[in-house]
Amino acid sequence: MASELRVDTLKDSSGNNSVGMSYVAEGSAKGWIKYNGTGTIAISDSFNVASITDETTGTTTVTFTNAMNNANYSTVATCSDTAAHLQIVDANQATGSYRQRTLDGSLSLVDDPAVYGNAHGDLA
Amino acid sequence: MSRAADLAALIVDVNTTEAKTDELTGKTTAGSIAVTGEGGSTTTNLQQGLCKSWCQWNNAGTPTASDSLNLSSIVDSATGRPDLNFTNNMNNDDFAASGFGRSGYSMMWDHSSTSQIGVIIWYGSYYDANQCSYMIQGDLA
Repeated sequence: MASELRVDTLKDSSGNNSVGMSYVAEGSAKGWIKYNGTGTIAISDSFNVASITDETTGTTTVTFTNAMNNANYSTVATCSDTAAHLQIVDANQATGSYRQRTLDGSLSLVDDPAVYGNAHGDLA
Repeated sequence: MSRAADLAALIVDVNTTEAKTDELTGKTTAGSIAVTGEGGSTTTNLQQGLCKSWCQWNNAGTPTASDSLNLSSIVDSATGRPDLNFTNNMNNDDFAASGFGRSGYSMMWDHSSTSQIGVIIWYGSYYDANQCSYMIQGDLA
């Protein structure tokens, strides 16, 4: 049987290290992913990610299992080697998905073997 | 909803709005606690959403952490290539990492294991930046 605790604040048993439930809810990542962006792209591990789509070289759309409440969530992304310098999240960010791109030092799109993404914001 | 129904669902509504505990564990599955999302229509997994390690550190000279969570040491492997060792290991090396360097430095993943992540700090070449930060989300052991 499922159980539910309704509370506004969590503290340790000494009454220290207080954290409000709003920080627990809003501070938790709502999605994260590590994937291989080369060849047939594949998820290594993830949370709240339903699928990834290989749009074109260096461009991947990440689709959430549970959508965000709005498109104003924060995303950060990282790549894995010096040939792929930069990860950016482009303007194509919606409640159900976002798109990230991998660029090299010449700002050309490249595929990268280990790509990461994290999303923080309001879940629907 | 009646009190009996509340009890049947095992909903605990703490009137003082404050719960004191040293550990939270899922009742049905130890490693899974649901938290209602901000929009109120779905839940997120507390354990999966928590940052498992973070650090801000100075990588110039002897690498020194300014503040951190779940970090035991920083090893200066080579210029711009520190290894950051966890206090408590991850469950696998498929965690998601992100990092920033100050003032135009890039940070990239180099290698990882359950006990550490090795990063690259890049500024046209490997570089020992004086203010770096990373965070990790994934499965703790």
